[in-house]
Amino acid sequence: MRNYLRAECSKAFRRFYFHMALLVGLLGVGLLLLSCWLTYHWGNSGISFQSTAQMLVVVLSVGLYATLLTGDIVFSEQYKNNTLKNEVSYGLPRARIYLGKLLVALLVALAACAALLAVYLGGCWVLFPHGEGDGAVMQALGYCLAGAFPLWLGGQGLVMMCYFLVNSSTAAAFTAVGVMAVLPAIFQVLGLLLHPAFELVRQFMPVVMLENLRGMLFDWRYVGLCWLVGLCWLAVSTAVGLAAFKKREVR
Amino acid sequence: MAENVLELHGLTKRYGSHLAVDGAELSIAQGQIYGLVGLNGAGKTTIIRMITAQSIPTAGEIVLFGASSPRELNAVRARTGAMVETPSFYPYLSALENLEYYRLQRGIPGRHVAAEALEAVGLAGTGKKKFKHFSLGMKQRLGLALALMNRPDLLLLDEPINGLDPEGIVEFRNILLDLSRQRETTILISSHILPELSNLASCYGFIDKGVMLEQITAQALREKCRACLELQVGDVSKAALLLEQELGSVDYEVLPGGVIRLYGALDHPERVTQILVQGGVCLRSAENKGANLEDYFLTMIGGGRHA
Repeated sequence: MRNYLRAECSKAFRRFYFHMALLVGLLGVGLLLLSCWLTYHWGNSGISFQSTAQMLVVVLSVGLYATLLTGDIVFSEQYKNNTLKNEVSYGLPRARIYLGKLLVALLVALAACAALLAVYLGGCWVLFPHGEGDGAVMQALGYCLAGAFPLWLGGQGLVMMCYFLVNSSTAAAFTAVGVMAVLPAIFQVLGLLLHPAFELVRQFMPVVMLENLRGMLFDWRYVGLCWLVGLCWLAVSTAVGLAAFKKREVR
Repeated sequence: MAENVLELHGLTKRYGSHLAVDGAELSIAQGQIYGLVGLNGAGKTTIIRMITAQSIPTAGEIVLFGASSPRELNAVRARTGAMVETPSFYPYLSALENLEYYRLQRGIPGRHVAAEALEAVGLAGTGKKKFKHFSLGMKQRLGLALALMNRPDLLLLDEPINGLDPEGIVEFRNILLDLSRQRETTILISSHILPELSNLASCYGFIDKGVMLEQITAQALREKCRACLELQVGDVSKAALLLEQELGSVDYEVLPGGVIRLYGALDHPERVTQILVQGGVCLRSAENKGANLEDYFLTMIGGGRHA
């Protein structure tokens, strides 16, 4: 497994795609910081470290959709390029292939997330005035990240399952978005029209839990539930994906 | 007798109602170059894909280096090299980067290994050129480099000379012959280009519509395909006696059904028929026979179709 992870990391972290995606992310962060700084410079007294850092709490679900990118960077359109046959033909167990790519996708996601957060928070820290509420906002941010992290893990598991099971990477991404974003809306409608059980199920969808997270600040039981649900999504999607991949024809 | 590197027992692959491979039996001894011959869709690629774990058999057993359980098979597959259908690599990586990635992945020691494999197939000078800009011939060579990188004991090649130019075909043949002679590498090769296959193979397996028809050594095939005059006569003993008396130490063999195959005196068939007729032997037919690999295969599957 160590060799497999080394090879996958060397490919993923050196990919132009990864560098470009990270650069675009960093440019986005830079643009956001610049616009905040301009607003502050033009006399908006509401702009501070507290208010800008707080914005992260609102965009937690972006991390969930970013797993589509990190998954794609690692999976590298294996079915389009027909490269999986080069792996299975030499006796690499399919479980190693699946879990190896999943782990590296998580690593890539973690690295990108750390870089973007560091740049954004660092920028906010340097550019904007500080106040008494800084400690509280950092605590709130820590709470939200603690709850969001396992849900992002679950999202990454789901995305990798789709990439392994659907032949086209575009179709796989659509399928994953369908499960992450469209299914909760469908459950909401079904909950209203058919049975409240659908609404109950919807509450355990990662995107809904991420939205709820900021409304339940410092409810650590909810963070615990996020971990339970996120890890369940990761475990179930990995088990289903792996079982299907083991039976799959590789070309 | 050399031990078998690969054995297939009743190997079957079914896709829905289509039986792609039907109970294939095959054995390849160490050091053999085994030519798998069949038409398009006969099941050659499916067999190789099952051996390389790209496809899961519906039934039957694969014994590779004596291993047959899925876990053991995965372990011994590290001793094989494979090139199945069109070689595929990451389009945005160069030849060396692609090989280095697979070297790392498979834990093959030595940083020089990938560069050496490229040199062996004549791709050392490709530099930073990305795989997506390679010609078909270059792709084939890179596929072979990947297959050779781990110095395999068994090489599985599916239509490997497709896309190679004549010079490339000769180089390719020499590489395989060197591997076979110097390292006793066992090679399973499927090809449509039967004359080329006949330059390499020491054993053949013929497959049609998913069924293995025959497995034969090149020596036995040469014997079968040897040029001869095939005579069908009424009295075999009398005909044989006459031929020996009149033609001297002539090479012939007697087959069931009153058939005599005469391997000498091929320049003068009229003299042979004259001897037999004048000697009172009922001569039903006389025909010049002899075939190459292509003829042999086409005759076996009923002729007419093309390999």
